[in-house]
Amino acid sequence: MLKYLGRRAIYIAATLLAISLVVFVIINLPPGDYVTALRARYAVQGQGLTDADVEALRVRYGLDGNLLQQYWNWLTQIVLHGDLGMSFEHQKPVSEVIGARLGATLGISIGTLLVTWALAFPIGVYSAVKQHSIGDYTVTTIGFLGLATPNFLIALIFIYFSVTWFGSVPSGLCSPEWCDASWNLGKLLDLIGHLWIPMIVIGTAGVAGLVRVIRNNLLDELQRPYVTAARARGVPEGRLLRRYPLRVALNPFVSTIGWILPLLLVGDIVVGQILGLPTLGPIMLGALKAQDMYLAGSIIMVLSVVTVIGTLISDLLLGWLDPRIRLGHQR
Amino acid sequence: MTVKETEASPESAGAEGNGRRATASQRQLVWWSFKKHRLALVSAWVLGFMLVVIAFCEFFAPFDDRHRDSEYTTAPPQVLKLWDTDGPDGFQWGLHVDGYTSEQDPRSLRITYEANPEDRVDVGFFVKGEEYELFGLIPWDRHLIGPEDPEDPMYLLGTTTDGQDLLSQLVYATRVSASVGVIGVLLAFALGIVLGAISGYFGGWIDNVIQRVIELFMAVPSIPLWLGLAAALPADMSPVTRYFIITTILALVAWTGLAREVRGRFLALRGEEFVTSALLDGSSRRRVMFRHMLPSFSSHIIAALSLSIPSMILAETALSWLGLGLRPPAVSWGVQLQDASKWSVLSGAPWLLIPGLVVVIVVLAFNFVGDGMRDAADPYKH
Amino acid sequence: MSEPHSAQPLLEISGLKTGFDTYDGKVPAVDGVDLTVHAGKTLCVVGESGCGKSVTARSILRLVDAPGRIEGGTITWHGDDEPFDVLSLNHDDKRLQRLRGGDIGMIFQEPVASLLPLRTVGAQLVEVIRIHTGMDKQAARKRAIELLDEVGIPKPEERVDAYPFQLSGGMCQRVMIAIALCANPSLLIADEPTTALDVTTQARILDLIRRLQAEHHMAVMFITHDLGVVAELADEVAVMYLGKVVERAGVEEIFADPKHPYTRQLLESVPVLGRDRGRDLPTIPGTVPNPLHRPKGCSFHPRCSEAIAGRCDIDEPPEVVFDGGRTAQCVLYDDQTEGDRA
Repeated sequence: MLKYLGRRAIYIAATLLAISLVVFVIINLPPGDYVTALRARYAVQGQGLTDADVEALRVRYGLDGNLLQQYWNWLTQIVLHGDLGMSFEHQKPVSEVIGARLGATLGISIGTLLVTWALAFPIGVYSAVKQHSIGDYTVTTIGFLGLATPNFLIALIFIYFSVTWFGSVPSGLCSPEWCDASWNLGKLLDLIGHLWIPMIVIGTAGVAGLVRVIRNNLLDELQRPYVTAARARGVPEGRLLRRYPLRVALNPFVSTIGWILPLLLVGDIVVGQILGLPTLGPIMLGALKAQDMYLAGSIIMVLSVVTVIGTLISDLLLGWLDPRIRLGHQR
Repeated sequence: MTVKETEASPESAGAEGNGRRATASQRQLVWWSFKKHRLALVSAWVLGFMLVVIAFCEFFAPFDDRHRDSEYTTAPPQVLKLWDTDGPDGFQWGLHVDGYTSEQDPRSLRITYEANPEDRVDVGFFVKGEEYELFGLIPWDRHLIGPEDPEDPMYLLGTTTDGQDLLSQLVYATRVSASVGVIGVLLAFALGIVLGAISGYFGGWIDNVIQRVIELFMAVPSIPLWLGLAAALPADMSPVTRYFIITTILALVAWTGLAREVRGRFLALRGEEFVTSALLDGSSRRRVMFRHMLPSFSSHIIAALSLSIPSMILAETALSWLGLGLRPPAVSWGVQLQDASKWSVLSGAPWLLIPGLVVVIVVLAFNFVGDGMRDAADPYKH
Repeated sequence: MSEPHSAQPLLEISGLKTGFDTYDGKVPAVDGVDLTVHAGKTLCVVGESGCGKSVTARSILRLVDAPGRIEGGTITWHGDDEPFDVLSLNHDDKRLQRLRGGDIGMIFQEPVASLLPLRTVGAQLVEVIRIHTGMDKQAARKRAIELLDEVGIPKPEERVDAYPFQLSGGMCQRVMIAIALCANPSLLIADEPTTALDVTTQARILDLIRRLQAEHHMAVMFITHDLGVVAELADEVAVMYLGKVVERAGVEEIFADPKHPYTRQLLESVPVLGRDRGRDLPTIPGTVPNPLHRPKGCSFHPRCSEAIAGRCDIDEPPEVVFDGGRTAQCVLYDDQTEGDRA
């Protein structure tokens, strides 16, 4: 187990380093740097910056050396001071801009993840156990559609029906009358009333994908010799399903944390944009469009780190669940 | 390319008796097996049709992709009619659509259109319309369908907020979006093959390094990476450059999965017993490569390619819809759907979502063909 | 059979038909099989792969999964006070529950894959012991260790907490046998239990089965394609070809005087030490036909050197009963044929 943990740790450190490199490249892709952009902005406002000012600013932001030095500066600033650079758009440190919205984003994402699991697991199991039933065909069809429909399209369809039926679109996370109220049942209900649309839109692709994974895995497992063998020993059917194949089929389910988290976060970009949620999505889109690269790059960095952490959690859970992995026996 | 593979099998003529099965070639077996997958077969036809439309865009679209009719913005779809009872002569045969009457809301200033049975717009097949050059070579002016008088409005799927014909735009968008998917996957595949070949040829530490690099690439979540790379593109790029760079970005991010798939398939195949036994039977290495491995390999690869195209298409659509991918005047499905983003517009013009329907159909079709190919790739399995 | 059996019939299979629905049509894997297992005796079912011997074994405990389906026949269990037909039981019938793993133990071809990889062998043993005996956890664990010891697993106190993938194939098969034994069954069904094992392990497992059979007074139904194993273990032998039992006899009779041409050719294709040095082994010409396209008449006739044109390729062969109870499905011993020959 320790060896396994050690391997994972090294792997994750390398991954984080790779991510930081990629993000740094992205930040530096557009022509000009932060100071050039700042200079242009001041010029528009009629305030010229002298070359000396520019040089001073460059030194201050660590933009004076060659690219490798810059990368080193940027990385050490992040690691040692949590300083992600300045947002050009917001005229604030990036960490402040992100920090203000990270909570709501993670909240919605994790909430959606839980709902996704709660839905996908029973549906997937049902679909596999009752293979070739009408229910199974329905589930499979909806699953195919869910995977083939871009989530912004689902959002648009929701909005269309919402407007034609209710005459408006629920936007934000709370209605005006509840936003400043202290927490009580009414506010909670209001929050839930606002949350279900983003959750559905963000979660659809996830549910569809997961149901497919669970169904296929369970179908595979149900054909294994150990199922027949257990039946031959007199293990009752219900227990047989729970104790044997379901347990095995759970493994890939856990390992999906890694890929489903970024999916949810990206869903947030789309939905947050349409529904005006106080999440990272709309900020990121704004930053990308305005080429506010420190902010955009940092959000990509944060999303990636969250993903890596998700992968780590799922790896640890897998090791805990599956003795083959824990005991270093690859089959 | 998937389509070509499935349609170009002349052996399709039927009888798959048991005796034939024993002597059938790999391709025949794959084709027979594929045919059983009915959804896949229908999907192959859908993709085939799409291919034809893409090739002859200019002919299939009633109007040019730059055609704009400011008189009719956000006009609803018209119904194609075969006869007419409201005309001056009573009942009358003839393909036509009804023209529009417009009405402006005095407060919101919004114009709404309604079909006007009085105003008959004659429609014909192979009508003369805007001139174009087929494949950039053959000048022509015929369109599959269009108004007899090019000045008349004929908008079978309605118009956009800019007053462009949604149908014509859709035809051109299909060319762009589908080709991004296919070209992107081919690029990714080429990259994967080259690196996979290097990896396989040199083996040892080079293989190791390449595998580790692929693993690291895979660890970086792809979608934020797409967004970041696309956003870093200068805003003033020409549409064509942008098209190719976006495709390249999509391919760059997607190649790792394909490279792994190819390498994995190849290694798995090398260990298969039929390969060993062919070698033991004294077949030359070359013969084993090309006669035994490649045929069973290519079905798997076609399946893998076909299954990667949907995610590529969906990525392009999402990127363009977000405003980070292709931009007007280029038209793709994502660009078209931007029109529907404002809920005030969408609520009055649901037809703007039609491109979305096409996205879903095409994505499903690629998925089904891929599934069918994958199942058919092991013809002896059942 | 040659000597009238003093032993009671324990399990009687009669007219069993099990088919599989496939894309290409229905495959009759078992097509009217009659077999009897006698208490305390060993019945070996032999045949090439695909002849339906495994499916027959699985049908007994109703383990045939979709697309397979048991379509007819009876399987009568005489081990209870009152005999009953296994095939007529409901899925939730207590008697079926008791039969599976209780009165009938079963072991399989792939011992490692037949154990759940995620739980220790002890946990799986304990589970089955508790299902069939109602012991509490501690007692069941003690019993599990005893059983592991009995099937010859060294250091059973340690091995009880091992995962299947940490044990060798032979060890796993011993665990499977321990599980099968846990409720003192009166019948052990062994479905090619040694096929996936190497030769020395194979011999040890066979020894183990023979020893346990004597100690527990069990009947054994042994499915195999290996005639060597048959000679070593069997009291009675049933030879199967394409879903049918073509010959049944005591073990000495089969080896001394095979009646059915298929049995004869099967025996000739086994090398005998000394006899076969320096000569080519005879093989049975052709291959087992696809059960979807079963030959008309006797299904063996295209490969049979003694086939009679005009009879074997038209009519199903009759089942001929010889003195002593042995049977063969072949026209060669039919009165009519004998008459023709005379």
